[in-house]
Amino acid sequence: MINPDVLLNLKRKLCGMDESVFLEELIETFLKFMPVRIAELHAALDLQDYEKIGYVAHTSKSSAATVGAQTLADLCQKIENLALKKNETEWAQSIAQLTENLDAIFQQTQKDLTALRSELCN
Amino acid sequence: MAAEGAPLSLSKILLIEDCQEVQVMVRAALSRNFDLKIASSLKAAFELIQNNSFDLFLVDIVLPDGDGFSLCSQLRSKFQTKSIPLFFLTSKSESQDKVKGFSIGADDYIVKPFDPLELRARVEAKLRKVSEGKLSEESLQQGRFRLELSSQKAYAQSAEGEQELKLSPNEFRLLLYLMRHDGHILKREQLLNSVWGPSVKISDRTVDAHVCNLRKKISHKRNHIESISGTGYRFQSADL
Repeated sequence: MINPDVLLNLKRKLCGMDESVFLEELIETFLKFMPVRIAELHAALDLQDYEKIGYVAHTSKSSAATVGAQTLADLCQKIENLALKKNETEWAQSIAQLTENLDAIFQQTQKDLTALRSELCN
Repeated sequence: MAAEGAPLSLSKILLIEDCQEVQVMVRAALSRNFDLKIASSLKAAFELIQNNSFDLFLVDIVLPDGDGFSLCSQLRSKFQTKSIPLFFLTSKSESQDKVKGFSIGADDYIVKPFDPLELRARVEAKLRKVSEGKLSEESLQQGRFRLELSSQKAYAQSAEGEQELKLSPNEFRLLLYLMRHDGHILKREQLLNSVWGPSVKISDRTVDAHVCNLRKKISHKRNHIESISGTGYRFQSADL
């Protein structure tokens, strides 16, 4: 779920610039805000607010890619692409299916990232 | 003195970005070398732009209350912000988006996820070029003011068009120094040393008198030279 090279490269590049503090803050921010975004996605899906789904999926994609959560970023990209399509019968069903997978993927991402954090920030 | 004066010369950068993780990344890349302000929406950005002057904008495209393209177009259409460097910082990687960004006036287009060191290098390179340009130029434009350096003439934009300001040589040098430090708090001693020179024996009151006269001559809709209690002054070129 996590590509560790993304955060390892960041740590290497920011060497000497309080890199451990920065990585701790980055991971903490992701773990704090991503559940909020997933909840917003579910709420927007319930309301069939596809503009909101597209916006939240876009932000979530950036956030996930920043910490190397590539599976989550790819899933958010798919949701965003579908939300931008104007083919109701196709996208409504597909978005619902993809959004269902979000919780499981995030839980695994959270687990992987927490393990990586203790390795990176200590 | 040097340690106190150094932060005053930091270039001011405004990041307009709603993703908190990206804000953390940009802070890690830039906050040591620049005075970084962050807005999470267009509304917050406009408020900051109205009350501050910035040296560079970093703009996300997809924002909660609109898009960065429209912000860019608005900044480019305004006299005070049209020449301030603007970089897009976005996960939109399609070439049509990049072309649109450059066509409406962006100076650079950086795709997320980005390398923080590359971001810093691009920002530094752009600000260095702007700074070199300012030093070699024959005129300096900041907000509604324009100075012709060779003829030592000053002009101000108003609803009636550009008007010449009748300034004494010292007032001209004072305005030039203030414009080059737009938005920064400047100590009286700093103004005295830079405008009159360190060997000239004049008091702080002389600085105050010149600032007072200059303020009267350049003020239009707002007071452009704010008194900072116990410190000195802050010039802001932007009109409200």
